[in-house]
Amino acid sequence: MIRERLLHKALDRDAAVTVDRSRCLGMRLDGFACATCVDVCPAGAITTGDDIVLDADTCTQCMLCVSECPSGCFNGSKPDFYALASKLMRLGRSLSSPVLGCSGMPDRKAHIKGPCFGYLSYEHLIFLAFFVKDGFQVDLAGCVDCGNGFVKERIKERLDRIASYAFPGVAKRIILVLHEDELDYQDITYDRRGFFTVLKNATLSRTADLLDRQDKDVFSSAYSEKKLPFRRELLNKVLSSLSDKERKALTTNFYYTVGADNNCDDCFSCVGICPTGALKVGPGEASPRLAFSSALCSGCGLCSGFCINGSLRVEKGFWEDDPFSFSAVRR
Amino acid sequence: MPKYGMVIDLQKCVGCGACAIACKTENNTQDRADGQRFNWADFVYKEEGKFPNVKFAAMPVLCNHCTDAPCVKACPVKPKAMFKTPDGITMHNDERCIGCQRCQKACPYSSTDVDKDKAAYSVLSFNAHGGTTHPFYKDEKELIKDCTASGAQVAKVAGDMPPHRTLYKHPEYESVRRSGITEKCIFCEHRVKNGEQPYCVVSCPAKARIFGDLSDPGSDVSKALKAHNSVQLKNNKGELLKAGEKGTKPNVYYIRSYKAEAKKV
Repeated sequence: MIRERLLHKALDRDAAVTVDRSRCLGMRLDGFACATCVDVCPAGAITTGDDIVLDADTCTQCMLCVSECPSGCFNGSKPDFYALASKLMRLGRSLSSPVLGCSGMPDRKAHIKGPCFGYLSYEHLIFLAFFVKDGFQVDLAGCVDCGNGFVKERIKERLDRIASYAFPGVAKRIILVLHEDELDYQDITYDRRGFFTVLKNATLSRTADLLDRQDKDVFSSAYSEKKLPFRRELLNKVLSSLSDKERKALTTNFYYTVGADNNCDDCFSCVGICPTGALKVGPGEASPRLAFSSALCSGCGLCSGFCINGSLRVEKGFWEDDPFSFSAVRR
Repeated sequence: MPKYGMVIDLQKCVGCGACAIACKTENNTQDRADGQRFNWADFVYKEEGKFPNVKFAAMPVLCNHCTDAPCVKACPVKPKAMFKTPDGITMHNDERCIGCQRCQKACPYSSTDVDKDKAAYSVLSFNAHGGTTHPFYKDEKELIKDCTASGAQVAKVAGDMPPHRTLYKHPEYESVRRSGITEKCIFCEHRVKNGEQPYCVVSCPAKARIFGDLSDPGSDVSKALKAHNSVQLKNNKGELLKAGEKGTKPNVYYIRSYKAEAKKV
């Protein structure tokens, strides 16, 4: 088994981005007007029609689809983002400002390297800003010479937007390095014990990677399966650790509310079409009623597009107390 | 390309229910629950008149594999989870089904809740979201305490759920479907493509069911339809399509209608 995996790794490069067809809004609801990925892809590598196809040869791996698709249809196969975040956190204790770099820039110094920064969505940035409290640098200086250089502007825009939504102090923890001379790179020195710890961790993570993902060829899950997009999961993790004021700012700007009008006849079709499980059949006084949890809603709008009575609407912002609990959809 | 259909001879049918049991065994469908029937092969029993002048009729029902299938039109996903195969079978893919139940609402022969709609049957059934299919085999309650085995024990000993599970392989369908999706009769396509007849047809002791190619004038179904006047069902209340009425162009036909009568001698 290991031998086969090693061979596979040596011969086939793992796809940088995987596509889960069952999450695509246009696939779940024929004719649903969502072309986010097609519009955002600068290389024109994504086509939607009878199927959603990402052409690996045309793809420049800028990862913008990963950070823009509202439904989590695209996933970067690497790296494990939580591992990356925790490493940044640990480095922050010994270094004044660790550097997150791009593996496409082998000559540039960084403490951790990941894929093209395009994957850093609002949710990723918010997560890093809140959890890496000591701050870190994102080395965008190399972007000038890169075909995916447009990513730099997107990251800037995203961070500015986060700052404008009442998190200026937090957003400042992420320092975007735009010019070469702005980079403050400190070398890490290891003692004997440290060296072996690093060696052990690296070996462990490589082995885990080798043993993991046995079913890597199976990218598409069943349509009826409910899956929360990874970015939503990140946001929910942040939310549970916030002060009331920050919480309010986050739920107002990044969470959604589904409401219904009186035409809703509790047919529960929307429960089926919802890709994330934000809608469910909940208890009611006389008969079951539609229930909703904001923490599970990605705001994709599929339910409102699908509702035969035109009864559902998705609104930006969540104003009630607990986004994690299910409560009856407001009429 | 064949166009599969079925003819049911009501004068041969004795209403014994062998087809329904055969279907449940072959397709591993679960027990009735919460307004869902889970009987891909089911029955309509009609009683008329007042004692002692009463009439009784039994009519086996199943998915009509309509030519103008409204369930296919209603299916929102792409490619459709409910679709017509080139040989006329209304096929269902359990991986793409999202469980919105639009097919159930669109189908004139189905209801989302048979009890509430006071319908006689439903050819489409829905495995509730988040539940388990075949919940009986997870149940640890004994029918008679300290006497009989529980469903869970039986399933454990048999090593499967349900214990008599027919393990067929089909590209579109699992032999036991997951929760959160609808399911329906697929004309035993897993058998048909191997040159076998649907299991309900094979199991009928009276040979009342004929299955075959409606487009082939030499087939048994075509011959039966030529020899006899036929009727088709209109809905799941037991009404029939009137002459000239097309409905959804169902492909299950009934010939030689029959009513058992009690007569004063």
